[in-house]
Amino acid sequence: MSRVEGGLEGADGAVLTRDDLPLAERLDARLDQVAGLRYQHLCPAANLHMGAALAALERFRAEREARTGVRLGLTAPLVRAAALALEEAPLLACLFDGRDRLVPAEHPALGVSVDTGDAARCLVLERARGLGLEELAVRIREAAARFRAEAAPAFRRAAPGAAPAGARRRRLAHLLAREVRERFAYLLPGEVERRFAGHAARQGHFTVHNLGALGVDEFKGFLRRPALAALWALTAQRRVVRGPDGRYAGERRLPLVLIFSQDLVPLDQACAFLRGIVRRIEQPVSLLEGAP
Amino acid sequence: MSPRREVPPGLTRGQLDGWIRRRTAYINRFHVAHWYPSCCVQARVDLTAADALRKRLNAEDDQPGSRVTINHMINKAAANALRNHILFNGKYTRRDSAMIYQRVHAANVVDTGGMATRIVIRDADRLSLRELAAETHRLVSARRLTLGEKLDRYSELQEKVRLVEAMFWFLPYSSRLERELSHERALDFLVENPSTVVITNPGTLGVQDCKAMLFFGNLLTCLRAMAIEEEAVLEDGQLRFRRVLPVGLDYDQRLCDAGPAVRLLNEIRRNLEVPEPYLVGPAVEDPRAPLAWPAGRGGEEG
Repeated sequence: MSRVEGGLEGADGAVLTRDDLPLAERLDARLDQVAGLRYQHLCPAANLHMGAALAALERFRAEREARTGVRLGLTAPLVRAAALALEEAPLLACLFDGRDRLVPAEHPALGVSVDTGDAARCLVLERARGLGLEELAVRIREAAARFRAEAAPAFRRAAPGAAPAGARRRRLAHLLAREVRERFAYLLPGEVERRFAGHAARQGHFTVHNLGALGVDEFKGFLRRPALAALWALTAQRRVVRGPDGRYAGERRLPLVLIFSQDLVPLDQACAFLRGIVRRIEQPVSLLEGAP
Repeated sequence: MSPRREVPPGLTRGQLDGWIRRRTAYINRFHVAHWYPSCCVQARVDLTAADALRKRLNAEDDQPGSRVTINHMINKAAANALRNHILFNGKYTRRDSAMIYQRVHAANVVDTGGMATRIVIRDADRLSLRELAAETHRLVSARRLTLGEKLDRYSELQEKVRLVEAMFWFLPYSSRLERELSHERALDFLVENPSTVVITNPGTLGVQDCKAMLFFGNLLTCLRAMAIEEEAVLEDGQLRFRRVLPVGLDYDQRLCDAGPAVRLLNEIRRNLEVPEPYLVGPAVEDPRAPLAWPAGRGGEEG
């Protein structure tokens, strides 16, 4: 395997093949995704930041958990707030169809990204608007446990064994096929549409990512089409504010980042959506609106 | 009529022309098809322990050539953390592929007063903090000494290139055509760069926040340190201020998700916040780290 095809390079400069190392296999699988993501999938993404005070939500959560016995966490209220706020900004739940058209979602499905320790997986909640807080919390927790159990130990450290017979030949054939496919596939009519199809089933019309548990203070990202927007929640921050009595007090705030397609979503819609989420987190009783 | 270009003080017109010409070559290389979308995660690092360590080390040895600065500590913290997150230590080799390296060669962006250049600290994870500081001082001084001379030579060369281009006017078109036809060439010209990760500190220029696309050659990862801030915290009802350093990590989201990137960033934060065991000496490799260099044949040190 030649050096320009990628892989791992040891301290002595020797290139290690992918065929016998778990890390290399994992990298290789990821590179297949790289090959499948051309600039047709990218859009000019704008990042919008807002913060929500958490004091009211924490009181509401404690009270509700004591009553129902279901631990709510932070993701479930966030997903519920997003589902409700999408009604005020339905454009954010549209998907791009690959032929310069937007397809609106009658009943938006919400994707919830779950970190499995290796890669993120997405739980898709169909008709998320109709799900109550407790049901959301239970489904998210069950899915996270399932995803983590299913996650292959792809990065395990293992002594390499001998590559199976023919592995190298198969690998090169795979690389060649990928190269040819990805270079010429986009010349075919309907190829972009084909790749965009099924996105709602894989990631929902709108995806919520909660990086809070990982310890991130700020996030800036990009967006892949066909989605028009995605929401990221970061680690809650404690900041010092002066109270009404003039004394300093600590306040926990949840930083939220909305990444949206600047060419298709007007700024006022994006702001309205984010304000809707902030309002619901700061007045959590409104999370019960229309709940089953 | 072409707009008049202002020549900043300290640069001759020839130097400016040379600079613009050099950047034009970069612009041509970075066609939209070669653009790598990057995400950025950022964390705030409490510098209390790092400040104390820096003062202690500098009190023990106050030679100007080996003084330890926060910048050196950031470089060292990143190099040590990469030992356990080796997937971020690599380069794009062609558009659709990447090479991950076992050795950590940290490129450090140095501002030399109008011209950013970079020095490469080889095996930064294996050096001690003091060695890394001494090596950085040596490389920066050498680069500052030679940069002016190089620019002069570059400008003289550009005069000759202009003459050749005037004679062979079709050459730029042929190279443009070649670029369109062969996208891998666009990045291969940077493969000679020995660095495997880039660390930049715009904070020394007063920058409080920035987000860069991954255009640092063909490297997979860029770590950015911003200006140190005073942050108010409440301790036992008392208002106290502490120094915090915002550190950002740019990564290609196609190659890894936010989780592994955040874990690398958290290790960098830990190295800076608990510096004695993790920062002073060579990198401590964690055998349980899932993203460390694979054991076995590849794990043998060369």
